[in-house]
Amino acid sequence: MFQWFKEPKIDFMKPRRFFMTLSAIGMLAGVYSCVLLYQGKANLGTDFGAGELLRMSSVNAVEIDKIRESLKSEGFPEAQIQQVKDDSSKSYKLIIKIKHDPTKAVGGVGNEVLDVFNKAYPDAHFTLDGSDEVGPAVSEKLRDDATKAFIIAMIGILIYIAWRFDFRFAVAAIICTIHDILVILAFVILTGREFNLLQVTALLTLAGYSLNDTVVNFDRIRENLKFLLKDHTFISLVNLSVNETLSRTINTSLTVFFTLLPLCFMGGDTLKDFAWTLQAGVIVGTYSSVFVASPILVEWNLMSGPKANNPS
Amino acid sequence: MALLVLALIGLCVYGLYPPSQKLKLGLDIRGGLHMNLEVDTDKMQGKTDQEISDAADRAMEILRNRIDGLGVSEPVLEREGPKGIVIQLPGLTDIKRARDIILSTAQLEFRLVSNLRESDYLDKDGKIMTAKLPKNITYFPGKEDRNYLCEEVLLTGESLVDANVQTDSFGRPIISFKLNAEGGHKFGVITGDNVHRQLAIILDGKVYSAPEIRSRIPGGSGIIEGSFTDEEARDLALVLRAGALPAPLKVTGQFQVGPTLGADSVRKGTTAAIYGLLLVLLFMGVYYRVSGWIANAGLLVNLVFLMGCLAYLKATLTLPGIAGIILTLGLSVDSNVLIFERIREELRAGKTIRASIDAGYRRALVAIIDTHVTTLISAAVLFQFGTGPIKGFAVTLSLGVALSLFTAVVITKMIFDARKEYQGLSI
Repeated sequence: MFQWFKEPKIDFMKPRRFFMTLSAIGMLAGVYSCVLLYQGKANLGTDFGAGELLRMSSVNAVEIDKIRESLKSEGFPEAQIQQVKDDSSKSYKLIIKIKHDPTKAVGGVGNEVLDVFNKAYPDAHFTLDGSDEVGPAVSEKLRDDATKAFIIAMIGILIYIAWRFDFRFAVAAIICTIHDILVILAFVILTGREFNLLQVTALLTLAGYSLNDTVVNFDRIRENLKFLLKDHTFISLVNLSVNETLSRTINTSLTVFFTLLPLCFMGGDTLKDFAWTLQAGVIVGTYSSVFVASPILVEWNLMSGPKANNPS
Repeated sequence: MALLVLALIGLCVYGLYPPSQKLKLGLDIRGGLHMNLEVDTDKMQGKTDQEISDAADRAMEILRNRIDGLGVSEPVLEREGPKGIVIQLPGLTDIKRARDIILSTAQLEFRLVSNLRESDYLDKDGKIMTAKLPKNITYFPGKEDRNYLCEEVLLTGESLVDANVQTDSFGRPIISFKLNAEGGHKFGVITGDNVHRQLAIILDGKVYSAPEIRSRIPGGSGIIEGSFTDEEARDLALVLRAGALPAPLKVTGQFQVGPTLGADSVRKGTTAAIYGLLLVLLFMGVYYRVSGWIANAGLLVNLVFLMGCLAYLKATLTLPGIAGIILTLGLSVDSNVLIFERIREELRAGKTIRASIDAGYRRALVAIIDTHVTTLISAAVLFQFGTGPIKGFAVTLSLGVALSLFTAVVITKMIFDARKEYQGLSI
């Protein structure tokens, strides 16, 4: 039998204060990211921020500074430009992100820029592979829809948790879910990744997924409470449960980790960031089931008095 | 039961073959154009919300006619909100031309060219001073570099019933049009009363031609000349036939994907999916040995079912949809991990192999259902609120997760049950 650990007896609850502090810092970083997002200081995608995202390719490379200069003279002073050599098609891929300019009609920018480039650099042979051009009305609608979707999904999941678990377990699972979302959000925003519709999709998916490990863990704690409470203190019982479910906590995360891993590196620029966010969620979800959800139960039990051993 | 599963697999493979035709690919993969349009309310001041919404309804019908003339295989047209219209044209390649056809208001007007002398109204740069013009006179630029001073509208494109491309005696394309009975009668009267004057034919504020009326034109047909290219003439005839937009539209969002970009992304996505699949197969096979391969069989069946369902439901596969399939692969074997770990525990507790397998499946089921439900809640919300590509993700994720309840639990159990006596269990 292949096993990571043979009957592990790791004391996960002993350093719980340390990990709770760590998690709290993570949550604060998440709240800070929310503030950045709200103030519009985060790196918003074209879909949320209104603007143009142009994907072009050229047969020959043109220096980025020259491209920036051309864009500036065309009335786009602040453009984010990325150029990557694509070996498979022997061409240079250019990604240009422009903030929306209310004086320009939505939908015409892609071809306008293409014409400018082809006039200025006829030898480079630019083509427009694709473009997203989003006016303020659409980006506002997308933001609204994303916010609504997020709130409704969270309420749905929280109701399910509340219905599924007893009071204390439910509260711990809810805090755990909120912790996961905040930490993943911090990961996306503070690493400067673009925050777009796909990232919200990833967050919502993770809100549902990251609970998996916690559910398995809590089920085991409840089961053990029924049979083993006489021989154990509450804290050692929680620790026992975490140890007993450790292999499955690790393996259920590993399976998803492995399937997502290639996507993180070769998914193409649309799916790469998405995959990284999901991957971060898988890791955070695993961490939190051991170091957030269970310690909350333990602390709660300690606070309600040393004699009140039975939490339900 | 085993026969049923085999039949289902066969059905899915049959439904999928050939995949390039059976799977409906999203705009982000096939390439094409997505446009969000809105009735330009700045130009409709004083109109009630109801009138604006009606205008959007009528505009959509007219756009439908225009788009039908574009020859796109599965165009999508939807009303969105009080004044919005969404157009999706998958597989479209000539995006600039489609944009021109969609956005052309196609306001056709007939006006007499005024007898005023143009030179009286020119400023020193040679531009018409519109402010100085008499009230009933309007300035229009010509399609070629010329100015026209025109009188009031005599007839509009509303009376037009047909428009077609023809060629004149020099082989140049011209547009012939036909008016309805009332319009034809009016046209006869106008031309009869104004012989030897110029009649300007104005489309979207531009004079295309201003021929001199030689005699009364009965029957309500006429032609528009204007040195068009063949394509211009064809597109013009199309928008004239489809009718004028009741209000100008403005673009609020436009997403275009070229065919190479889509093909490139999908190639990267599928390669990543295949490597991901191999990694997880290998992991399960090494960690849980024979049992792991049973789980792998369930996983592969899940993949076949999922693709089959996509084909039968005619669901659209998008780029995030591919990510959804990848995620499903990982989530699907999660159930098996839970079951196998439970079986190992039961075995350690000293139960027989048969009893351990049964207990493992039974006792892991609650947790499995829990994990499925929370994921499905998220997927359902994403389906409800997501845009096209995100919907594709919600579809593959929810289908994959729902199917995995069957493939990872029922089918693998079936394989375990196929053997009656167990001497040992490779887990």
